[in-house]
Amino acid sequence: MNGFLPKAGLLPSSAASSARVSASGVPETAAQDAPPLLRARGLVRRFKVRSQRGLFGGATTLTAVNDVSFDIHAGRTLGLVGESGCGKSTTARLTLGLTPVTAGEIAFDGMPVNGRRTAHWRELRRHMQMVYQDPLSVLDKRLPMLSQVIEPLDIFAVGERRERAEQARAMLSRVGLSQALWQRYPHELSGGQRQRAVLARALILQPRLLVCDEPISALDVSIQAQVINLLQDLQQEHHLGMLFISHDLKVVRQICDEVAVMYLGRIVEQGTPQELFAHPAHPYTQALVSAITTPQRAKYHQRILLDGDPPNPINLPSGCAFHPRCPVATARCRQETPALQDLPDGRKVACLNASTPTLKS
Amino acid sequence: MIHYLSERLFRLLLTLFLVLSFAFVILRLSGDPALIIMSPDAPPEAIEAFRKSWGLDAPIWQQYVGYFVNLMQGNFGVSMKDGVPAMQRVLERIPATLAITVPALILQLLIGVPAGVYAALHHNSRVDRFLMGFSIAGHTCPSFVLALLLVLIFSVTLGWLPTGGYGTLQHALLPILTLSLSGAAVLARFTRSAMVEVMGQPYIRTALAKGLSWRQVVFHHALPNAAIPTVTLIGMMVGGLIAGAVVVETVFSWPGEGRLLVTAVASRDLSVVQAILLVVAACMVIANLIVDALYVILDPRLRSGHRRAEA
Amino acid sequence: MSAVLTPFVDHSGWKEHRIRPTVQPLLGDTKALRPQEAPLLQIRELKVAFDNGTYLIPVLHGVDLELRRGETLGVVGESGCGKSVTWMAVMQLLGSRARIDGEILLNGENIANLPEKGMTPIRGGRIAMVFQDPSSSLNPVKTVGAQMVEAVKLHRGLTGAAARAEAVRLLDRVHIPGAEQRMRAWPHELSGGMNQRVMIAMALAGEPDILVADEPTTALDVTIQAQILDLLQALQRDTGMGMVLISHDLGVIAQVCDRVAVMYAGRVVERASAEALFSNPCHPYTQGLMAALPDLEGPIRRLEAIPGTVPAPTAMPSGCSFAPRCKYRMIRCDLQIPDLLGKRPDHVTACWRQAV
Repeated sequence: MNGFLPKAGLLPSSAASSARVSASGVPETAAQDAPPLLRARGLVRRFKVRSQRGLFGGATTLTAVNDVSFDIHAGRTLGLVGESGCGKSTTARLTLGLTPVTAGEIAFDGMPVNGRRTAHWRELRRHMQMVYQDPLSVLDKRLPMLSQVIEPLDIFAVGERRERAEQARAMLSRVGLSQALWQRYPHELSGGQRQRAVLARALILQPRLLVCDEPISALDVSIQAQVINLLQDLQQEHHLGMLFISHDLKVVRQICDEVAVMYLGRIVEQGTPQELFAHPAHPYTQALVSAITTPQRAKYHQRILLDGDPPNPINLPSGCAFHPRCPVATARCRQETPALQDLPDGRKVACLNASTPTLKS
Repeated sequence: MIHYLSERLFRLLLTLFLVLSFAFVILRLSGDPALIIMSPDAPPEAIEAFRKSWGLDAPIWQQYVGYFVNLMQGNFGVSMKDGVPAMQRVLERIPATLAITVPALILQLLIGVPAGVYAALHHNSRVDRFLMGFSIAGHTCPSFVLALLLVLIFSVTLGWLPTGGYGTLQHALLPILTLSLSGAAVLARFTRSAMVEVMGQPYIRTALAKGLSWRQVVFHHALPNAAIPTVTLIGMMVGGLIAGAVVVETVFSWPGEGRLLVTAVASRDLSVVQAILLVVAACMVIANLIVDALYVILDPRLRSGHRRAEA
Repeated sequence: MSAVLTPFVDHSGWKEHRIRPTVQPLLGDTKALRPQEAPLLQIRELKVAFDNGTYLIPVLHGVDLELRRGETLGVVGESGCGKSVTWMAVMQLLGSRARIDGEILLNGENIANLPEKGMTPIRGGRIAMVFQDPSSSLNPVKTVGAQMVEAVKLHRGLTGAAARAEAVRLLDRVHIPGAEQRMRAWPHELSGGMNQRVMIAMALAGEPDILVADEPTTALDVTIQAQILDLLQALQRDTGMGMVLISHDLGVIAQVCDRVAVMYAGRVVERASAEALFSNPCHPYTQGLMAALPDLEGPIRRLEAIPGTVPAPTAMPSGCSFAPRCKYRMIRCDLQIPDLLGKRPDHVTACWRQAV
């Protein structure tokens, strides 16, 4: 397996893949013992929304994130999956301090992150960066690629002026953009090339945390693979902690060390991808996993179909947020909101009827 | 929806207030009415007496407050020239103005909208470029130049129509034509861009894929959507029905509101000017209010909260 | 210059991609046993170019496809491969700048370049199309009911209450709850999944022989996607119409389609039954696509990305358009465009490696 090497050059070959997963799916213990790079506890984010239904516009509250807690460790990736309305993008912004929390705490390396634009917040930008879904809208249309990658160095006055261009060039080569492209403008590059440029810009300051919000959804399948490989390589080299948000579970399984499934602002299940996807415990995860289409499954696969539409975070159902669509909901589910409990194999599930997983794939 | 409309109503009153205040201050600062109405040769005592009788010697703020107090009571003041109540002067001229602006508006719509739609449906073709060229010409040409051009053609060279004045249909034709041509030019361009935008939308493709004929697609699917931005422009044109013909009326000596405004400003006939401005501003704001209400009818997305919650 | 051609069926890297059927298929595969009837739609040598005023930009370079009654054809490829253009050309929805060449035989009759008058009864009445972004594909200033009734009136000749009743029945058939009330709803009040169902109901109004679904679930959430795909399969079973599913998602294609055509840079590069394609992909591009897909089961291995990018329509390589990115590239590939060949007539590949 050889001819398809991506342009990035250095390939740790199989070392990277085996470092990710061993047959039993036990994660590396070394990284886990170290204190987490980012710790989030009890995050809540509410928005006031004016709903204009009918004649009178009353203000209602939209709860985008409802008590979310997680840890991100250096060198490891946490995946957040869910459908529209689940709050994953809002969680990403809370993590970086781009939006202030309504409640809860975030600590980066022990220091609190809040949404206020103070000098401390600006300083934190060096250590945490974000990659978005649409690279065209986050790149300056009037600057060539090289200038955009140098810009963060200028902002933080890193090193000598002369060196900055050199560093930027090295970074651009590292992400696989050839010299011919350095002076091009964003609209002259393809989607994959733009996303590489965004990565170069995000990583030039050597941040410790990278938040990726659907970074590959807008790309073609073959380009997705290139960017996924690149992300994994870069994470290895820079020992980055990553928060990876996606609706595509196959990609999440590929990249993430740990996965959290979100529904209506809460984490309903959390665990390693191997366990979670092979034996999902929460009914929502089960439906999600069974709904995925892959060429391997083809037609021999029985899908669980959920009733109705994805939820609206304005009118939260009582009790468990999933109960209106849940195939195994009971009366109790309407009244009690389940908390995240630990399962024997290290996973966490928020379900009153959590079965020990027996679902066939 | 009530919230939406009451907000608009508040803005109407605020706008009127600001327009009148602005007019008030500018007029008072731009020259002494007493000197202009009574010739500069008049004896100073006469001028002083004039000022006193019109309350022009009182401090400005007092005049200002007095004006608005009178306004509340429905007293719009009296013309300084001939003592006739200002509002009466204004209202008696309205029919004359409407006699040319209303037909002009109708003609504008009849020429401009179809031209714009046609240009959009054949966009980037020769016809489109031709029509848009005309539109730019009509749009950039000042109305008095256009008026004089038309006079040159129809009155001087061809001798069909009189050069100005009031009375018969022939007198009205040239003013109407001038107004409608420049208005149609703007309308055509605007309609064209609204239509081009709409025709590029996915739902037009769906309508075609359903098997509808082009005609059905244009009339039932495209136009109702293109009407939404076009209605704003038409609203503005309706708002300008009363005072939109100042230059044309002057060129053709048509005794309408516009001419009254010009002469009243020249002679600093304050009450009349203020009365005209009040009527014109009210007209414009009411037209906008109607347009806003029309929006809600034409675009259902404005009725129930359109914004979906973000994740 | 007889280069030694390497054996073309290389299974070495592919063992983990074979389908492992743990359960017998739910539907017996009786389609193969049905007597060969004439295909519903045949596309032969379809070429499409766009006229930008100065020159012609070719986008499709000779596409051959066939659709039979009761079967689902999947057309898969990445952006720019021409999969949507092909079917928009069939429906003549490409606009006045498109130049179409070739044959499109609908029940034997050539409809390529048919004048507009002839096309309008076909659109919706014999071939219906459903598009990608359902929320912007419905007219925002007309109610769902008005748009449904319009379709019903157009194709079924019903009016008034009968038309309304039929519209409600169609909405019911696509499992829209509370169909009667939904008739009065505006498109922006419904979710993406609901809107897609409305689109499908509208497409069914004309009782078409063929339904073309262009990326119908790309803009929808995964669980909604499952619902829509399920709906499409059920509808096809009930009506027996031919269905075309266009997608870039191999998983979706695998789930729903009987036969698959893979397109690259304006040509069909591989065509086979779904089982054959996914168990034994022959064309290097198809193999590359499958290697680039992350799995849901099995060990996590590094993805194999296809190097390079799709050529622009104005800068197409001579010879095979995939050659610059292909790991099996030979000299012949750069010189001659490969024909669709194969040992079996129902699995053909446009690759010179097959010619061994």
